[in-house]
Amino acid sequence: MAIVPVDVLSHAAIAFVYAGKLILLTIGLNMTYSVLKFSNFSHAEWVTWGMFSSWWLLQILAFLVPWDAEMGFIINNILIQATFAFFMVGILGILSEILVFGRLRDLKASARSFTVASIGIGLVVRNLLSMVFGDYPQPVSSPELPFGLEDILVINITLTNRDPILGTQSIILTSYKILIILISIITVLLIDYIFKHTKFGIAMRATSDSIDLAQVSGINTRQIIFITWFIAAGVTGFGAAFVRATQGRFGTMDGFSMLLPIFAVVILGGVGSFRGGIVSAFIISYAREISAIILTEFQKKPYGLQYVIEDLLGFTISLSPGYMDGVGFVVLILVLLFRPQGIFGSVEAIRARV
Amino acid sequence: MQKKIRTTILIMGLLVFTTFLVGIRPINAEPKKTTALPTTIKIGGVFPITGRPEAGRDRRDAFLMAVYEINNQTGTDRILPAGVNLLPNVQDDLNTPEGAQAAADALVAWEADIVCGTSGSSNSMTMASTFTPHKIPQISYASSSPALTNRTAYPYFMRVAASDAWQGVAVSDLVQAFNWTKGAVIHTSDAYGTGLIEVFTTDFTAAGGTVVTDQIFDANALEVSTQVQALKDAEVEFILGNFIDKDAATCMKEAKNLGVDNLPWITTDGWSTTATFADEDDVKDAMQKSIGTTPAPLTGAGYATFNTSWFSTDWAFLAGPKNSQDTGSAFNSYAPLSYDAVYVAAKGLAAAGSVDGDELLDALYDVTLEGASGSVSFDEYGEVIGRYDYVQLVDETYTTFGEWQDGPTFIDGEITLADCSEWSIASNKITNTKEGPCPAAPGFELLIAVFAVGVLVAIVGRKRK
Repeated sequence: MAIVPVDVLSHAAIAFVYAGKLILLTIGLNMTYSVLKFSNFSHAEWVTWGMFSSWWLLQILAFLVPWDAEMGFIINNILIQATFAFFMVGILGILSEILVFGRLRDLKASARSFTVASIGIGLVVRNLLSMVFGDYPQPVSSPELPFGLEDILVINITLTNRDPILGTQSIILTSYKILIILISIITVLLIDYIFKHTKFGIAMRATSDSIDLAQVSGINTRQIIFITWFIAAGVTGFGAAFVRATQGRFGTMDGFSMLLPIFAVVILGGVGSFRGGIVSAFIISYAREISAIILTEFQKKPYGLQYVIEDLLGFTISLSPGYMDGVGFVVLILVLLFRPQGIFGSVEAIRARV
Repeated sequence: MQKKIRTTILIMGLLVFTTFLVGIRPINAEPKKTTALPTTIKIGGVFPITGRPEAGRDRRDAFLMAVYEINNQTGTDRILPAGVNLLPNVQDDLNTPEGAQAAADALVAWEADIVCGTSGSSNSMTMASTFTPHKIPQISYASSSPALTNRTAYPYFMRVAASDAWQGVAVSDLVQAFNWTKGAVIHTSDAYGTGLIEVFTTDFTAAGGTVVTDQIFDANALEVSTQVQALKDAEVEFILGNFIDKDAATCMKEAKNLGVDNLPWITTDGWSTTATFADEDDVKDAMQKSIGTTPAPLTGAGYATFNTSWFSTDWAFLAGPKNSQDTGSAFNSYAPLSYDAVYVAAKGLAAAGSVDGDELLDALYDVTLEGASGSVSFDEYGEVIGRYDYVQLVDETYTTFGEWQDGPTFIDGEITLADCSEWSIASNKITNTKEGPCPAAPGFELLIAVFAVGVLVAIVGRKRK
């Protein structure tokens, strides 16, 4: 047994990828949170719809177009699927605004009403997806990347192999995991730039501060809100397509299962802060990973602390590595106790938050 | 004051009247059971029709076939008395505890006399808890968690599928046959996932083995990289996985991504099936040369008859859409058990002569049957004895290299595992003839070599300047 009992680099890489997924899936929620000022719980179904729509395009193309070596590249191309998902989920966002949220806004409904409505929209979308596509998980046939990137964009480095001191230290990242990291960082920086340095971003922030004043200033707030929904939902769908590519299967509950970690990232980073979202995603992801390592070592036979305690004190404390998902939320609670606005959030944002 | 007294008397009178009215039809949990067989016996069937369509539909169809056959038996072949027929009610549990609860509630409201189902152990537990106060016997055709043997918690539960208590011992015997002493386990957190692992761990530890780490994840989880990496860190001789096919696909895809697929993986009945890697080359690649257990193939005249009649167009009338009949693929391995569950129910009903829960349960325990799944008989807990095959996945085919029935028996031959180790099987002994692991990627040496070359280039470059 090596002195370093775990593959630290591999765990760090896993946490990095998970943080990338969280970042990619929280950008949209941060946008709606900061501009429209309510917790959009239907965000989970944006993720699910993004996965399904990208997969759905594959089914349509495979049905319509003969699949050979040339056409396979177009039919099962992840960029095409992700772009399709961007538009499909963006349309869903706009539909939500037209059918529900726009009407609530006209009625001057409170933020709580928006939140409850979003829960309802999420339930409707999820059940519609179940009705149309079925409740069972769909298999994922690995999509292709252009220019053979799935073979080039791979990191498979073994620095040490069963070394008596360092053990095995390696980094293994598939092309999709690397893409998730790259795309998540690029997207969040792009959205942040748009928010802070473009006319559109200024208009969004003005709308966020006060719709009436923004209108008086000549800003077409209706258009801004529509575009916000489209981009927020579209970015989520785009990211969800890449997340789907990394999974063995996907189903109608996938988005919902990610909802809590997504909200944790947004709240911990500070509402409306995209850079805060990056930091908080890494905090939660690494907290999760480190706790998994600690809990695994705790229960590892025969020298784990669990067995030392059992020998010394005569009773067993069992801490399964399965608790690692809860550790991220413990971190969230601890940070909020001392900084309720989140790491990068502002105090004013809390007052508007539901 | 008088008004107050009058009001009080009025209210009390209303309360008494209401109590009297309610008392005429007391609401209690006791079922309206008779001590004779009714002409229509209500038999419920619960299946994961939408949650696992490749399995649920076949199991449903087998159930309906059996009901039809029993109702149409004549003469000396007839199990039930003349004029007594089964009325089926098919429910879909959605492969979730919530769906199972809804299915159980529906069957209780329908006043089912007996229920066949369901598949998932967690879902069977949910249903059993609902049926117990109503004394509705429940015969599962696929639930295998050892926790369901608890007759205090589930007094009206029994099954025609073997408990994983047997399979856990079978797996433990398998790894001991390879002389492995250090392993890791990974499984889902539900009753099915944990049941077998607990039995395996107890047996393996008692034999001197060590389960170095026990990794767990929720069923349907998306992110299992951390758990799979922890298996790799454990540096064990084998990894035992216990989950159903879709969770196995998630785990094995990650195992391939992280390079953990070059260790010996032990599979169990939930994922020792081609459905695990159907249409997923990554998963198939990761599972290559894995070994494990699967329910022993069914034999006997009953199975042959079932196999022959399964694809008959006579069954076209069954509620669709179907799975195996439509695709032409082999029926789900638990379909014959679902079929036998109905026959067990019918024989129990005929023997009891009653739909009273307690009388029926006693009669069910005494049923013996030569069915589609072979010889069926029950012990004092309403359990059948397990029989398993030891199988290995090579390409897309599972080949058998042994069997287990109260002990392991291996077929003479050679076997190569995922870690490139080679083993010889002779006279029921497995001997290592070539050790693993597979040739690994260069390690620290590569880093030193690259560093040395870099230094050399830098020095040469400076000298030239």
